[in-house]
Amino acid sequence: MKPKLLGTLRRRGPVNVFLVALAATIFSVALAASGLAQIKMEIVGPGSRQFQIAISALKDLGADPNHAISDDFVWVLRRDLTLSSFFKIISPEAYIEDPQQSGYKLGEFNFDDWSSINAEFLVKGAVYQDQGKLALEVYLYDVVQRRQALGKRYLGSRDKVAEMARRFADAILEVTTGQRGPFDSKIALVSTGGGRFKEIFTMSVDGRDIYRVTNNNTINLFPSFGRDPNELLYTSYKSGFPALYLVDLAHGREIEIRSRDGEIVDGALSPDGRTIAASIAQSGATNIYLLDRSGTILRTLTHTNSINVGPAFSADGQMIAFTSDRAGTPQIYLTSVNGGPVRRLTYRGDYNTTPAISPKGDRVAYQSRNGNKFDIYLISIKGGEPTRLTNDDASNQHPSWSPDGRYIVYSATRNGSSRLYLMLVETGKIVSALTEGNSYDSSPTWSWWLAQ
Amino acid sequence: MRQRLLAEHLAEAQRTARSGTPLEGKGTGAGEGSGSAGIQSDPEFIYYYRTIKERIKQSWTFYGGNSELTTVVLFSIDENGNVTSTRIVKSSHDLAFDNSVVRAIRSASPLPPPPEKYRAQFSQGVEAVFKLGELSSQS
Repeated sequence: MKPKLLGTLRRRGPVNVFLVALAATIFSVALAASGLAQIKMEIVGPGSRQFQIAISALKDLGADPNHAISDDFVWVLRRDLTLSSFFKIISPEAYIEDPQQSGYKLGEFNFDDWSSINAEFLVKGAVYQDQGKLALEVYLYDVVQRRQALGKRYLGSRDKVAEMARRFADAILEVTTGQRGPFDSKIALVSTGGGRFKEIFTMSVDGRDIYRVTNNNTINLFPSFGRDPNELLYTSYKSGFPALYLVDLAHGREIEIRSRDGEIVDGALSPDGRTIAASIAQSGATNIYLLDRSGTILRTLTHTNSINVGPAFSADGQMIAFTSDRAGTPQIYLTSVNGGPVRRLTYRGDYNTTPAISPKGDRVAYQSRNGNKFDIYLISIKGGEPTRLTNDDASNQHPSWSPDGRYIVYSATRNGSSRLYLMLVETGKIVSALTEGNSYDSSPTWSWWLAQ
Repeated sequence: MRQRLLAEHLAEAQRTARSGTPLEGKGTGAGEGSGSAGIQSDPEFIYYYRTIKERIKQSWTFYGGNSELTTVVLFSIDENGNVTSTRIVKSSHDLAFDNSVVRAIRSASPLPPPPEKYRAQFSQGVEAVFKLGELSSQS
């Protein structure tokens, strides 16, 4: 670039002698600043997308004699970093030092023990008691630059250790990839739990902390989070007719939201938790309404004689995506919560449903029917050509975005059983199944971060 | 695949040679004068250049950011192939990305020793532009 500038000036001839002299000065200064580099190269794209990381057991400083806390923390951290798909975890069998003998702070251990097994990053830490509370002090070291990349101290009770590991995993992703990870969150889903009835559960992304929200042996559907991961809306037939239920997961309290205007089909909680977008069936048509928390209609968002269902809020709460068959086949539409004009988003495929707007608001994931099964697709919020994300033998449905927007969780049904899967959106890589066993798991919805 | 990669590197090395950016012998004693354009068409130079470039690329790990991220870093290689300094000349303003670039060069060290006749150039510094590029364009 600098030589180009010089060249341009030079071509103008002697008139610009002064400018040339000036430019030459600038040029040589620039050269000096760049250390007179004569050799230039350009490298496009890293050779690897996976960081090599070693996760050492935590050192017991009196609070973890049998290393159960360390085992727990390391298990969750390993699982989450593996699920992120940005890390390759070096097997502990290769580790040279004994974590109970060596130090965990910078300068108290030897980086050579870690660079020699090709670790680019290293996690070390300790467990101790601090004023009656459990303390986990954990560090991420950059083995190549031989420095500390991250240091955290978590205080809490024993049952919070997995959560501490998730928060640390999210922080590790932030310093290594520039974007906070999505693991300090939960996923709500509908599952038969091996039985006959569809009940609502929540779980962590790593498959632990499974919590049963409903236990009523009827039908429970469409879990939906706002910004507060402790508040969940769902649709249930437990009173004999469909109604919405808003449950406070921290305290187990629940309110029932009925509609005086027709039969509730489904609902979504707004990000701020103040309103609900609900589909309500009334004399042959189903339309979407904005309700307050008592079920009173604040606004009518669709006005057709057809079916409008499956509302989903954007992260800023301003937009709603939904499915409508107003044009003859189910397609995805967008509208404003203020009741603005409705815009059709999808034109490819003759059966497009279950839209989910990305946290950035730039894309919509949805399911589209291919023959006798569904696949997940992605389309720009502006419309255009969709991208197909799944292409396998399963029927893939109900995409939901991670709070960071890098992943989606969805259900894949094969041979009558259904599991949740995690996908890295940018690459379309199916990272892993998140549930297993004989239950039928569907309708996942990913919460916002637990620690706001 | 491998061959295609090498062919691309060779082509790029030759492009670099032709563009000859810093090698106009502008005063400051870079030394090679007009002869320096010759350096980069010397097969010995090209082979070494290509080797270290591939080594650094292979030791570079990153995921994230947007495809526009670019960091320019200056590094020196001593006669034994050790990287003796790394300095960011132009930051991408994404700390995670900048760090990944410095790690790439440091972890590629030691590199093979530079050819004897180019020791001075490699110890004076290599200016490397790291671009994240599109995910889909990578193998």
